[in-house]
Amino acid sequence: MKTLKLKRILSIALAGAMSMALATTAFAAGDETVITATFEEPEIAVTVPATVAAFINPYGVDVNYDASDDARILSGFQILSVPNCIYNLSGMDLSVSATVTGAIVERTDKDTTKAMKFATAPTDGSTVTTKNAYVTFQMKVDDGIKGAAGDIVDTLYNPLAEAWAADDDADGEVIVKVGETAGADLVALKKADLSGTNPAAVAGGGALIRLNGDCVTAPKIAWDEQDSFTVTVAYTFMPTTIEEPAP
Amino acid sequence: MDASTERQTTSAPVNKTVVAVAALVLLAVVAVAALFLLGQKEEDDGLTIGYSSEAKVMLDQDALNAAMQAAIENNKNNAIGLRYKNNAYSTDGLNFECSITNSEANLYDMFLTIFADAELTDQIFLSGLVPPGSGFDHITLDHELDLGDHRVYVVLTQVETDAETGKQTIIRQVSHTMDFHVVEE
Repeated sequence: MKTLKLKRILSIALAGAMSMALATTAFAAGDETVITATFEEPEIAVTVPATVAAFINPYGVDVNYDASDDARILSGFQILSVPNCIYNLSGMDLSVSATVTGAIVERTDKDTTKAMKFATAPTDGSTVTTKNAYVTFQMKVDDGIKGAAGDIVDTLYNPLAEAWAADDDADGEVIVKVGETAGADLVALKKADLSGTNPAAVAGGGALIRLNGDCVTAPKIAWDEQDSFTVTVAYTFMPTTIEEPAP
Repeated sequence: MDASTERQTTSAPVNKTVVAVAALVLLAVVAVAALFLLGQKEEDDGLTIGYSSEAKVMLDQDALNAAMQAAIENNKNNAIGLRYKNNAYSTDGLNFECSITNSEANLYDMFLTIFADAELTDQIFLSGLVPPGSGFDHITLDHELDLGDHRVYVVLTQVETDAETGKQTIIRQVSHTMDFHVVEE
């Protein structure tokens, strides 16, 4: 009997102790504020050009690119492509990288002794006589590329491309060779203005793109219409922060 | 004696039959292998997504002017809008949560091809056509990726469909990268 009573007392005491422990937790939980946060990855929205035509111009002749205006000239380009641009319509600054893949197109006569090659350095001023072309993929931020998608058309960026002379520097450049070459952080594009009905690229949110370079003007084996190359580009866009210059 | 002779006589036609069947089987195997190899060769031709496709040598100024003017005219409406999130996630290497949309600004339907390599030889996904404004928030790959992080190459192909004939024509392509992550559950 005494043992049973003792057991009952102990059980009650144990239950009470457990209740107090739980109550403490409950009291503590009531004082806490729980905040649940989830990361929402931002969406990338950019406009890029698809395939464009390019030319090898060994004699470096001036090119009138606008049939309605003789004064519209691309001058001094031995390697040139149709003017184009890329622009950012995202709500964040973007860093632009590119994986550039070059390939020499096989001649229709299959004569490998006449095939052109990619040079690894400018041919201008060199004494090389082989059929070499130094080709670069270039990007340059231009404040003139701005507006909604429908406003950024060739009549806007062609004159900007004309002003970007062949000898001018680029913000980012990749030398084209056979196979892949990675060009990291070629340009940084400012985030778009999202306040209107449609996103609009702002000054600093767009960049001109081109193929540039030079070639041996009069190689031992002359240039002909069977010489050709292809450039493939895969773009990589990453969020970044563009530091504003100090006033 | 007679039984033995009888057995020999019977076995000769059987041998010829076996040889004939074996020859037919061998022929079939060779034919299947040839078909497979030919098919493989066609697949290896692959896509050519050119920023500049087949740059041409121009030795005459008038011809160059005309070619450039024509190229610029063809270049109108040559831009493609991209809308996507850089990262996609999976716990099994096959089924990925992602976000890739055919931008509303685009004029044409598109389909996606995703490759695991920069050479665009290892295709891991091919989609159907999606109209502007639609896209994917979940995809299942053709073969699974290993645990870890993978840089993949996404090719967007725009397709124009003739309203009268229904004929579909590929009109332009661009490529961008994404990062696919296979994580432990």
